[in-house]
Amino acid sequence: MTAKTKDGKEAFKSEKIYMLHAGDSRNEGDQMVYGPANKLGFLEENTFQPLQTKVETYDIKFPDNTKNLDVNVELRFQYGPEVGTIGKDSYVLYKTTKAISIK
Amino acid sequence: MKLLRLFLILAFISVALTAFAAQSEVKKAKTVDELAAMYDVSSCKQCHAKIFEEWEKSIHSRSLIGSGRTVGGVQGAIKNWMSFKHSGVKEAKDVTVSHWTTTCFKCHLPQIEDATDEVAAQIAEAYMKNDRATLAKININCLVCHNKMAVTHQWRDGKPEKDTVYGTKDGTHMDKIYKNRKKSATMTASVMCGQCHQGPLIDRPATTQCSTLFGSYLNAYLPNGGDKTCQECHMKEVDGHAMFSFRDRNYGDPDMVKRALAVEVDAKKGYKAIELPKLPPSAKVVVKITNNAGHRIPDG
Repeated sequence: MTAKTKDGKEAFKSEKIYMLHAGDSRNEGDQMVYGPANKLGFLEENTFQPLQTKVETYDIKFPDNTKNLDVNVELRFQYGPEVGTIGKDSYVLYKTTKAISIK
Repeated sequence: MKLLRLFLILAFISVALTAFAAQSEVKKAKTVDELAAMYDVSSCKQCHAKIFEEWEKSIHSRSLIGSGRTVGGVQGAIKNWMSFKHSGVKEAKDVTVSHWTTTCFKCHLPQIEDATDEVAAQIAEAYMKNDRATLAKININCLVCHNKMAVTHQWRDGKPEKDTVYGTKDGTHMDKIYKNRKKSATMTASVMCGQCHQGPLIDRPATTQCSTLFGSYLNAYLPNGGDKTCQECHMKEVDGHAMFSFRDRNYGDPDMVKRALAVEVDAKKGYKAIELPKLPPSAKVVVKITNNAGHRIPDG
């Protein structure tokens, strides 16, 4: 999620990855691993659970002399750790922009 | 004379037993092409054309290739085996049926059980050469679900019969080889899909975590009030035998995406802190993501 001023300056950014974060269960540190043959220990589980709603709240401070912000929210499904090519191994599931103003 | 007679009797018994054993032994495929022929489903297409077309679009029809990441995952597994001193694998040609059934092919190609170690090695070599043409020859097709994996309760119902396709009805079946049709007790139950779409596999010499869907379905979806089967969402409601995940189904269709994940964004108007005027004004953005699927998202 990003919030930008009308002239395009970034005022806020937050990115979160939702997945079953797995380690290799051999207690060799807390490094996350990829690959079905490697992963087994579970470091963090923050996936979207069935029939449950996950609520994320963001408190965005307006920069000085700024009265308008555009908040962009994007939910993307992505194969692999790299961002990937949109439409090939990275897919935008939801995208919206909300304008917020103060007087 | 008595000795000669005894010898002839023993020789006859030995020959008879050998012939019987040869007849009883199930013939296993010695090449990838033989395995593909053993599981040839071209005759299914003649009568079940629409279903066959749906299946051809599915990821089951390319189970050894998958999304493309499957190839990388399996290559990584083979490389791991080569580095594990107790695996018995130094090169791809050392991979056996046992290696595959212990790990990837328990789900990606259960019919590997009907092949020899030569086939296992051929497939491993195909992976390491990125030979997708060979990998595309064998897959999860009609006979895997409607015969090999169709009977989940085998102590009660017996093993799948060689001349029978399993579905939702009993009767005859217009095919030269599969002449009979039998009702599978679990064909429309989630446990049918759960045979493969479950994990991790931790009760074996090489642990594998690929899919954990069925566990999530059992332990999260059902307790949260879910009451649909895998087949209802992934087949009956959309796409039949294509069995798309909603991830694959149509990224560009917001209504289809909502069937899996629904997102609401509420951006509240900014406010100014009165009590602490030195603090900058701020706004609050609340994002709600609801998972409407029968399992966690993402999985794997």
